[in-house]
Amino acid sequence: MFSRWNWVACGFYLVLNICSPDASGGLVQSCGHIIPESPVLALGSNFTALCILNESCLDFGNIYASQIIWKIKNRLVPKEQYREINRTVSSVTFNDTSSLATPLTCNILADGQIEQNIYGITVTVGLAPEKPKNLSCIVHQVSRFTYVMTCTWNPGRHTFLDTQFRLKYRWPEAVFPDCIPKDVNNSCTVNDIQFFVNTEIWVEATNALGKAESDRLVVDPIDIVKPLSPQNVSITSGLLPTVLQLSWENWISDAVMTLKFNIRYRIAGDTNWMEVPPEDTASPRTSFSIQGLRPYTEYVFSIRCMKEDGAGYWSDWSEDKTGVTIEDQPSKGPPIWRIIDTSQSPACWTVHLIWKALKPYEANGVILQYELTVRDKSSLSSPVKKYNVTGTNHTLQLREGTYEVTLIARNSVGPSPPSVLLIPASNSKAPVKNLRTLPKHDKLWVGWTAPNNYVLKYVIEWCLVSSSSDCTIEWQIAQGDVQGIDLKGIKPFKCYLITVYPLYADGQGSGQSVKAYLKQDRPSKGPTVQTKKVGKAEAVLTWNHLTVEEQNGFIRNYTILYKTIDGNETVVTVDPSKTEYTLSSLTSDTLYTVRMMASTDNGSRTGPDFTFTTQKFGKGEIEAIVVPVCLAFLLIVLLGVLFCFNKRDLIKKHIWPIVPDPSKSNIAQWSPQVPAKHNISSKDQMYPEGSFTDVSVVEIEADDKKSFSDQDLKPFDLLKKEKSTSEGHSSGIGGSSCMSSPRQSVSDSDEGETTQNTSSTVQYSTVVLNGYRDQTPVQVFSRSESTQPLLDSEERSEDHAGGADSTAQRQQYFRQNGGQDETNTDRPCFERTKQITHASEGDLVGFVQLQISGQSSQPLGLGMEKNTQEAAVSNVLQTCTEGQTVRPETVEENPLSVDEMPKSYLPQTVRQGGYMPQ
Amino acid sequence: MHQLSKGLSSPGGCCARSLVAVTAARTMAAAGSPSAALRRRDLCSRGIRLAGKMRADVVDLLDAYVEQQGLDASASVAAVEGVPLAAVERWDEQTGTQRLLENLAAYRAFRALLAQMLEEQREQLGEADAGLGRALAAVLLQVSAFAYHLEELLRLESRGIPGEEGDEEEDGPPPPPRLSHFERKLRGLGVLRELAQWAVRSVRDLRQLAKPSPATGAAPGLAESP
Repeated sequence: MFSRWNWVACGFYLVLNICSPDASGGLVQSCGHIIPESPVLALGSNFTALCILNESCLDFGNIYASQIIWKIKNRLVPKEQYREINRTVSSVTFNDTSSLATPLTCNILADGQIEQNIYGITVTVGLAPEKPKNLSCIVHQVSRFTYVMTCTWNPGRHTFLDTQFRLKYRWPEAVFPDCIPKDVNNSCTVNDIQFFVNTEIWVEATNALGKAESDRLVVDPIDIVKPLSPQNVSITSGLLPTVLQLSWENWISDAVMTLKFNIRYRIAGDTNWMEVPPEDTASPRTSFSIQGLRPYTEYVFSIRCMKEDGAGYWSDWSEDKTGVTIEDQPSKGPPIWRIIDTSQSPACWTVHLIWKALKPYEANGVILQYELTVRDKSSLSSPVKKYNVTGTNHTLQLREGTYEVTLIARNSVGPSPPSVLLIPASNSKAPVKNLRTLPKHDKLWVGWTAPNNYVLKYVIEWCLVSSSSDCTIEWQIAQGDVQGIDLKGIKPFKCYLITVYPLYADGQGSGQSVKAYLKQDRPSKGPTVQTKKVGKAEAVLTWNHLTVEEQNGFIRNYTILYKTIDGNETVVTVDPSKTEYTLSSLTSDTLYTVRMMASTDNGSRTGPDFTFTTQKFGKGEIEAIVVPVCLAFLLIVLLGVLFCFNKRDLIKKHIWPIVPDPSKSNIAQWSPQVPAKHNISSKDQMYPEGSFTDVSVVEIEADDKKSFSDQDLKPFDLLKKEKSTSEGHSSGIGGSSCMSSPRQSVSDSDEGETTQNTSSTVQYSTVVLNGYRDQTPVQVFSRSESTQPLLDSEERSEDHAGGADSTAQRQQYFRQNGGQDETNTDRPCFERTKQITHASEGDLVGFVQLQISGQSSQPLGLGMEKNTQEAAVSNVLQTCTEGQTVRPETVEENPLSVDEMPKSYLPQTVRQGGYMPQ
Repeated sequence: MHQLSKGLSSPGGCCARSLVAVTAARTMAAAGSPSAALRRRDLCSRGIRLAGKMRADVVDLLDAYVEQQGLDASASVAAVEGVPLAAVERWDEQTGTQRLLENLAAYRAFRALLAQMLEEQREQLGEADAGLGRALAAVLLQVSAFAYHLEELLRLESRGIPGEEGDEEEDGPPPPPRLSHFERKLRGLGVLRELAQWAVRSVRDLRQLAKPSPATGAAPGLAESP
């Protein structure tokens, strides 16, 4: 309990000792202190500190050195580094000060637990200064009488401490104040410097850890002067056009030092300086005449100086000053060339004389005018023509011939030497050989091999080749002893056409041309390829050449790349001159993708893809298939026809059963003309296309002739009436459908009248026309064109023959049911009409007319189909026609049969205007 | 400049004294050697150029001084007390040592007078005309440097260097007579004029010394000229 109270009292005492101010106003004395106080230590050295406790604290607080602990910036120092020297002193040792930090504190553990700070120090660690090195000094002239000396040195390593550098200098008998650098540690400037006395200069570096001095520099400041450059430089033109005089002031007196100079100069606008030989300006002076300059040229001058014996430094160059030399007469004539335009006529030239303005160093002044003289050498009597021109071209109209053109440039001083250009009538001399080009950086070298003859000059023309504009010619003249020049201003990636002409003393050689690029690039675009023709296994590709602007170089080749969708790409290289190529060995009916690449020496560019599909069949393949097939088909058809022809009877019987000839029927025998009809064998000609699809046959036995009653004959009468009625409408009757029937009928009737007069045995048919609307119908007698009623029109002549045979045995009567359309009816009718006409003209005697009673013109109410009527009427007509055609025979052969057979006539009706057969 | 003036006015200071002693020992050890001849020629050459520059600076300083002090450039000034006259009779009959001694005496006197003028200048104008003060200080430095050259040459001649008046008289130099402000201006003008004269004479003296001496058989004279 006592001990605890004791510790509390001790702590309170410590606090009081540390914190309470003493009577003088400061802090009371602490319980201890550290030795050394705020040391500066060399980096890497060892260090020992002592903490000394006060006796008073020992007595009151029971604290001893053994309780001391050391700390570096709140970090406990290992106890191995402690050493208790006695009961009041504890030491700590650091073998390497680099492990130290600030603050280093001495603390005590009161009662073994409570840590109390006794004292602390600040530890500074650094390095001693190194010896300054590389001391050098220079004396700058800052005004006419003022010089300052600036010395620089290498201060060495960083010391981590406040290090002071001093520049010291002295004479043997005098010490000058030190020069202390401001803000820097490696240079200092001395303002008061005196010449002609050797001065000892050195640098002293000092910090808390030591002092170091540089090597001593002993120098007379006059030997390290950098003077001011010469001032007030002026330039005056001399009397000579090649001389300028340079004057200046030296700002350093000869008493201080004598100077030597450097003078440099350049042409204004040029960057290259020329220098006056140093030995010419190695002595003191204030002016110098520069010779060998170009007339009428602006020069820029600059000058500098230094001590004559070479000790010290060159001054800066003075400000540039310019001066212009005076004019001189031009040193050479202008280069001249010509362009001859013979487009108007070969005999009349338009000569464009062009020349280049002299370069400034050639013109030597301002060219006031050019004097042009043209002499016609082919005609000595022609006067010399002179022109004064201010420009650099002149156009003349000259006749074809040889001319000598002389050009002189004149300035204010005088004329230039003349330039002579011979324009021969033709460029018949030898050309240059082996013209070639070679790029050289930004220039294009053009070289050639000289002709065998002596060449005065060469003219090199070049122009930028363009697809959109004309070639603008530039030109240059080279002397005759050179075999190559550099062309300047050539643009890369552009095609130039270069032509070289050799000029001889007595003429001119023809030009040799070459195309060239300064620099090539890959084409700016690729060719666009397309197909011209696509076959089964080949495709013809076409493309256009790239324009010269797109080429960017010489096209060395085209490359065609094509592939199927899933196939490998095939590459074909094509000559650059071609614009077409045929791809072969392609797969039929396949989609191909093709693209084209143009290549120069510097790369390639591919054009757009193009796709095409090869054809499924090759050329002629379809024909090779179709033609044989067709031929085979035709052959089969032909064979079929032949077969059918051979078997026609069988087929006919199968398809068209034999129809009995109604004319051989008993009813037919009722008509007196029937027998004659059956003699006609060309019945099929009248009805070549007639066919019936439905035939009803009524067979009447010849023996039953008597059994026909009037009832049986009525339908036939009605049929006649129908014919007369319908014929007026001209629709269903074959004759009227031919349009010519009524009129024909009339004429026939007229002629027939005569015929009737000669023969009363001829049977007539009468066609009665109804009037049109309210008009009174005119009854006309006409040859009946009707095939009615006996309906055998579709039978062939053979059939008739056969039918005739059967008719002899039996008489048939049949009725048709409209299976024949009008068309089939009409066309034969037309043919018939012609035949009839022919027959009427040939033999009117045998014309047979059938008279139909006028009562039959009433409308028929039998409901018979029109076709039936037509067929019936047609048959009648056929009958008539047949009768007409075979009339001579009939007339001769059938008188007896007519007599023998009972006369039977159809009822006849005479109408107004009608005709009554006699 | 204060420190410099102090050093210059008391060349018997420890540092300066030790340097001089070292140099003298070195010089004595090398006397008569080829290096001594080169040293003598180098000293003469530098001395000639220094005297030339000093004359040029003094002439410029004279103009500035006359203008700044409001004096007439053509005003006649009595001879300055304590300064040997530059113009002497039978100059060409003098020996080299005699020339060096007369020069040394004169420049030591000029050094003291110029230091006094500089002090008076500062008292009078303060920093108002720093240019004139800097020019005066520069000339003072040159005078001091030239005196050093003369001392070195005398050492090469193996002659003792006479002590300065300040060293000989323990009581120090007599206090300058109390002069009026205008008299001080005139005295300054007289000092600068006489210094200009002495600069010319010193050049001639050193050239004479630089000439090859048949007695000593020294190297040929220097070709340099101020």
